[in-house]
Amino acid sequence: MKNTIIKISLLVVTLTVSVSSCEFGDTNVNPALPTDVSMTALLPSGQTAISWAIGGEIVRFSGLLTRQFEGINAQQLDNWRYLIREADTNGLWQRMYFNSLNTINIVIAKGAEQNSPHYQGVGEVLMATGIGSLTDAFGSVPYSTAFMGDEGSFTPSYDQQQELYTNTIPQLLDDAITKLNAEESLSSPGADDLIFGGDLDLWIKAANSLKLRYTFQQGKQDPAAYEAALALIPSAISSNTEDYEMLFGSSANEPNPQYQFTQSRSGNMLMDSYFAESFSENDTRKPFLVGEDNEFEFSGFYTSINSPVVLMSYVEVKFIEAESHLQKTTPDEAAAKAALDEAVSASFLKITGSPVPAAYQAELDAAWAAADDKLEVLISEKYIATYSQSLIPWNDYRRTGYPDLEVVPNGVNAFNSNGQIPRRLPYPQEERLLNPSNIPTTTPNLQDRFWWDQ
Amino acid sequence: MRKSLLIRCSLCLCLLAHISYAQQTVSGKVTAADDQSPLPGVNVLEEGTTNGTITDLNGEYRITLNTENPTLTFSFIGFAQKTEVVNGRSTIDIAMESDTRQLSEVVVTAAGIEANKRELGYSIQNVDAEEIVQSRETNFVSALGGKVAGVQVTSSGGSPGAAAQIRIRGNKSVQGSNGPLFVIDGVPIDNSTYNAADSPEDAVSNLGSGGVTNSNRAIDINPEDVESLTVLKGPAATVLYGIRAANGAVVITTKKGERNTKPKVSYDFAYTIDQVNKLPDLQTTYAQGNVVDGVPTFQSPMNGSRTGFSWGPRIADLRYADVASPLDPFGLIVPASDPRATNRVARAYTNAEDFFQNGSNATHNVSVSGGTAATNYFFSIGRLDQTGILPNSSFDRTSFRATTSTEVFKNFNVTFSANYINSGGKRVQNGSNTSGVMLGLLRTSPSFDNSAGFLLEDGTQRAYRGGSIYDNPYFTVNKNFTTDDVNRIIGYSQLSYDALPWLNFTYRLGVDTYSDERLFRNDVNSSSVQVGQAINQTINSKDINSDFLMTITPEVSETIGLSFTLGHNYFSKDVAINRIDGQGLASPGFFNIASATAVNAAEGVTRRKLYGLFGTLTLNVAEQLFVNISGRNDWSSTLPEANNSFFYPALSAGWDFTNTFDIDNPIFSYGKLRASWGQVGNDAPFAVTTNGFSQSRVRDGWTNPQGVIFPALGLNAFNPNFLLGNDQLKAETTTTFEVGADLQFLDGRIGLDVTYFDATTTDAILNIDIPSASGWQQRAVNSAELRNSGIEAALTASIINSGNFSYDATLNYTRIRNTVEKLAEGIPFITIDPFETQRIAEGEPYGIFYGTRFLRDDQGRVVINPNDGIPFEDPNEGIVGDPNPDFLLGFRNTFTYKGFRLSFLLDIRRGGDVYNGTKGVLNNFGVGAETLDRNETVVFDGVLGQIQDDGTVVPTNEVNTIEVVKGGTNGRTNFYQNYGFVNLTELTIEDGSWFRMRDLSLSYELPNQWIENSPFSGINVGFVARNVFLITDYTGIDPETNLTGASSNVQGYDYFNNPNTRSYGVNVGITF
Repeated sequence: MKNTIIKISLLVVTLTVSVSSCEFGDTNVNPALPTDVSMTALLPSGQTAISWAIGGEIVRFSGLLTRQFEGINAQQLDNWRYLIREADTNGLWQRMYFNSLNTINIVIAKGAEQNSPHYQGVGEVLMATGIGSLTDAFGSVPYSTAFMGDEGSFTPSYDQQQELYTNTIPQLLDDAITKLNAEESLSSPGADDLIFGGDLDLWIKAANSLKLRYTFQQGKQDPAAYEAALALIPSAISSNTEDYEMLFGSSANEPNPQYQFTQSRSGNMLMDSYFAESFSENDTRKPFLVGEDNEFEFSGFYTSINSPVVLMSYVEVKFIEAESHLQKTTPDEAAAKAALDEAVSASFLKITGSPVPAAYQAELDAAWAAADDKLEVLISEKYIATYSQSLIPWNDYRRTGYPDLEVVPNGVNAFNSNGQIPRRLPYPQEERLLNPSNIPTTTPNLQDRFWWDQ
Repeated sequence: MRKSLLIRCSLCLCLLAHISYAQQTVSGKVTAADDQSPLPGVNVLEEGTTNGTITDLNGEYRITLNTENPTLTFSFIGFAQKTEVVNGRSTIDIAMESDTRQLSEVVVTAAGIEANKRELGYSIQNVDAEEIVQSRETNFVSALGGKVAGVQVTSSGGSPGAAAQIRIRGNKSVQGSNGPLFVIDGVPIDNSTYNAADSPEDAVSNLGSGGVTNSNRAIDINPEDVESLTVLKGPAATVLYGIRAANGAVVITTKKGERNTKPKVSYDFAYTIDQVNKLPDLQTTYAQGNVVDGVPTFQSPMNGSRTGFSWGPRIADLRYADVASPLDPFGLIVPASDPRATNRVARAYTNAEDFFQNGSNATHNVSVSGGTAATNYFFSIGRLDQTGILPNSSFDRTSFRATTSTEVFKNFNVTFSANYINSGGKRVQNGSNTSGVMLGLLRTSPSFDNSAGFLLEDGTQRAYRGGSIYDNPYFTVNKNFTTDDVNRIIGYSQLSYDALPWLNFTYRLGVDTYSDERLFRNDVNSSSVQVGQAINQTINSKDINSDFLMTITPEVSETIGLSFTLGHNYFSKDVAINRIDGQGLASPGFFNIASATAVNAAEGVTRRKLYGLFGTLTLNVAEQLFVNISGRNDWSSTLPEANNSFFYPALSAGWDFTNTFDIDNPIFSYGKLRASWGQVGNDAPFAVTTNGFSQSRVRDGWTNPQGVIFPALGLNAFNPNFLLGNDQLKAETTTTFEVGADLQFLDGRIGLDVTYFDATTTDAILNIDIPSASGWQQRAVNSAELRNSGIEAALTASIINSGNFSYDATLNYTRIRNTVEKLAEGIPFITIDPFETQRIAEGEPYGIFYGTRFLRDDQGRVVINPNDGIPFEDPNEGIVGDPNPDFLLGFRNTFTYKGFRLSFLLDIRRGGDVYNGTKGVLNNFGVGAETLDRNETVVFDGVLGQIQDDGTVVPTNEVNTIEVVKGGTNGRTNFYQNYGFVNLTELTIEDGSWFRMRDLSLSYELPNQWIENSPFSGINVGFVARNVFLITDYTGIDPETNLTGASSNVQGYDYFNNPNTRSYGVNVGITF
């Protein structure tokens, strides 16, 4: 009997051992995470994310530093007082590199693999938009060795701002234009393109306009940039309807980023009185841009649930044209004024739906005529007209010193020792800690000037 | 066919053997020799057989004997075993002598194996069931605090049903669970905490820092059902449970009926009142407002401001105007100089104190137990109703348990147990969330009364900053609560067959399954989601556990005892989390998903399977040397196929040297030395071996949880998942070395159990952060090495034991040191908390606080800004605190006098920093009590710095003499606002040491003669209290708090956490 029981026990043990060598099949596969998706599913994600980052955090930083916004609570108050810690830029950096540009980079790669140059071209325009905004905020940033985590390369090096400006961005855009002009593309963006609905001509104009912006922006370094910029004007965006912008939706799950900020962080910001007071009485745009009692939270042009996020506008193109005429070696004031008038007119039309009131035009004409420094008049107009359009107002201030902003009180801190308006954002904490061998500077100093700001 | 024949044959043989001897019945009574009291539960065994019984409540037994010349042995813990030759007697009464050397406990070790604690070579500790019940904690886990050496318990707060985090011998994993395995009657149960995470990516970044405090699922255990509890600490003890017990195990045995006893009915009732036990100190002197051009100015929604600050004038300097205001029932508040001002002085409100109410906690328990000759049964119903100190918060639990065991045929026992639990409640938001109760409550200016209504006539909120900026706390408790409803069944069946006196087969199949249905509400006009939000979330969890064990205890010789167990284990876990997120509600208070204008759905799955084979060999040499060798091999589904099998061994030895050297003197009566070495493996989290794409949610830290949530804009969209998988992962290993001693003195009146352990985890699996510019944010690696070492000591003393009076004391001491020995290459640290201040950094203790601090020179002097006299901030962050306590001490005192029993537990925690983010913000806002010195002129200690052209600061040797007004009320720099919103981390780290009376109970057992003629056989009445007092230097709420509850490895995190409670009440126990 004992033997029998021992035999049975051995049998049971053998059985359990054999059960144990079972395969687990797909037990460890997460059904919520597909291993591959199509370009159609990636493009809307990349477009929305980059618009969210530029129209949200970038606009807020730019606006807080140029007194368009006043921070009255939390980190927005700190940032408005020029206290910008490296931890404050982690979010923006992650939103750009992880949420936006990595997705866009995969669209570009898939477009090349799948004989779809049109997708590749659209991806490259978006990539140039992102890298351009990043370098204007941070200086040198990773690009040429970025997005290689899946190949085992986790710590990208930094590309110099000059390199980005003079090679990377123009090449990306030229290549994009070539690709967008391709006769054949296996698949092309259509309804999945939330910006232009698959209109390749408008993508080409957007690409040319970005070339224009990043050529013009080098003007402080290289005055020849203004002539070069003027040469690009004819191929750029030529009306408000061609603006490179993304419209958000009216449902609770498709809001504009700035609108969502007013909802989630009500009471963190107001419109700065400096900005509010820079409007003339005759400026009919003010009620669309500044709420009652300088409220930021109201149904304004840029703060409604379905407001656009402007990535590059006709208005900006015309301001670039105007300023280039003014700043080129042989200035042409008349041409500058004509372009300025068109820029202002387009701005009124875009924001109010109506033309410039005659009284306003008269004021502008008088100011122009009286001004010793026409540039100040021009930038003061642009300061209002490009409000909430990426970081253009902060770029302009750093390039020209206009408008003549008042610094905020108590702006001295560990990162901004002279209390003046910061010239840069600090590299995010994650880069200092996770990529220490590549980050160009480890001591955050907000007065550090970039290549184009020297 | 052949097999079943064999079994039948063997059965026949047994029966034949039965018949061949004349049967004889013996009965009698067993008493204790010293006081003649009856001894229930004494084992009575017919020697040389497995035939036995136990004595009933009156110490009586009856046994039918089968052998010729039978001999009976009587054994009972704490008494010397007694052997009686029956010699034809039919009545044998026994008086048992107590044996201090035998004062040892039967403990349940891994895989449900019972052992005598004396024979173990590793540390294990029992907790009295009574101690658990007496602590009157809703959460079973909280009830373990201060009672076990080596164990640290932290409740997440005083909200009803709040989770409690438990750690045995510290944190061993970086991102995996550090919680122990909970085992009930041999069946592991689920103790997960699911936070209301929005998506997997939020689960990583948010870690439940906002939202409501959820329960850990061990809260479903009814403490009244517990018979005994054993804590297994190291791998030598847990190796048979495998990887799931890598962090130790809490092994619970539930109450069972006893065979041959009449039905016993008992009823127990307790009612306690809960009160808030500690709140941060707030100022009630200064009004809402800011310093404008050097003048503190009243600013509030009354005059169009939305400021959150209380840097305004003295409230006593403000007046009511005879102008009605919806914001204050006494009228518009104006400066005394205002022409509208009356002579009615504005009031100051103590909003925080006024907000909390008395909570209550009522429990009813009925149980019936008993047994016949072959069957025993236990049945219980438990009900808990708890209301919180926060208005409108509650938790309740109903538990039914039935356990029955039958001897189906000779030596074949079948046990069935089923436990149904329904639990859940109303939960209130806390933490970093503008709808959190404490956030809105504590930030409120003392010049505003939150309680005077939370809605204005137009339906918008009445709140101190106006509108929906921070929710009025009354709004959030009434409108934004979350409800959860858990229906859970834990059941098992067990077959146990003593095939031969030396051979046992046991098979156990357990299932633990529950559904947790949650409805998360954010009403229209709530600050975090103004359009309103309703989230329906259903968590379905199913655990199946199967164990097969074969135990062989061959008779080798008189002096050598041998036992051998082989087992097989299968475990599978399936969790499905379905979530319907509805945003934009059709009307306030309408939370059906039909109310939402935009609906997104998500389907999440977690699953794993595990097979294990294990064996253990126990050797007892002459009751002197005890050796145990164990090993287990696991196959896990979460590891890549090539690496999914892993083996780990354990070895332990105990030496009873008092037996060897025959030491038996009244002073030193017992001594055992222990040593063990063991390993335990651990597998990876679910699905981290591959890459994938996740559905896109576009938003930022300022708009979370809202943003563009696809499908949206008429399209669906995906982006690469944040995590890069790793198909090279292998199992991680924890190796523990442990030595210790069990010593008894003065005839066992003093006992000391001391252990030193050293545990190192290697190849720890973690998701490390990688630069986002690489395109991904994290990747899974095998890398970290963590070390925990420490001392655990339990001292028991029977100090007075004379006649009617006794005094017993128990001390539990825990001292753990942990160090992160190594992290992944090139990774200096890993952030584990939502605000990026708590880190795992190489060479540092686990979870150190890392953050902003003052700039100091090389002599440690603070460097002062020569322009404004305020200390500079160091541009580089550094270590500012350590949340790990120096030691924990639990000191239990129990006094008895006749029927009275008084018991209390003093609980001391020394060290362990807490991040008081609440204070940092409250001081910035000017509501913290510290800011009362706002008008004082001070000179900060330190030396002046010199600002260089490149912006850096160089310290000088010049001592600072610049006088500054601390609160900047002269229009200059405000020290409290100078370092940003949450202030310098250095200023917000505080010592979390405490000294508290964790529980107190006074009970009285009614004398038997009083109830002789009643239907009752016992009545017990008592007074109970929890957190009777708390002494701490911590300036916030009770420092026993943790924002992210039990689901993360964060410790010591206080950011507008809901406060803790003190409670007192009565209980009555009746036995029929």
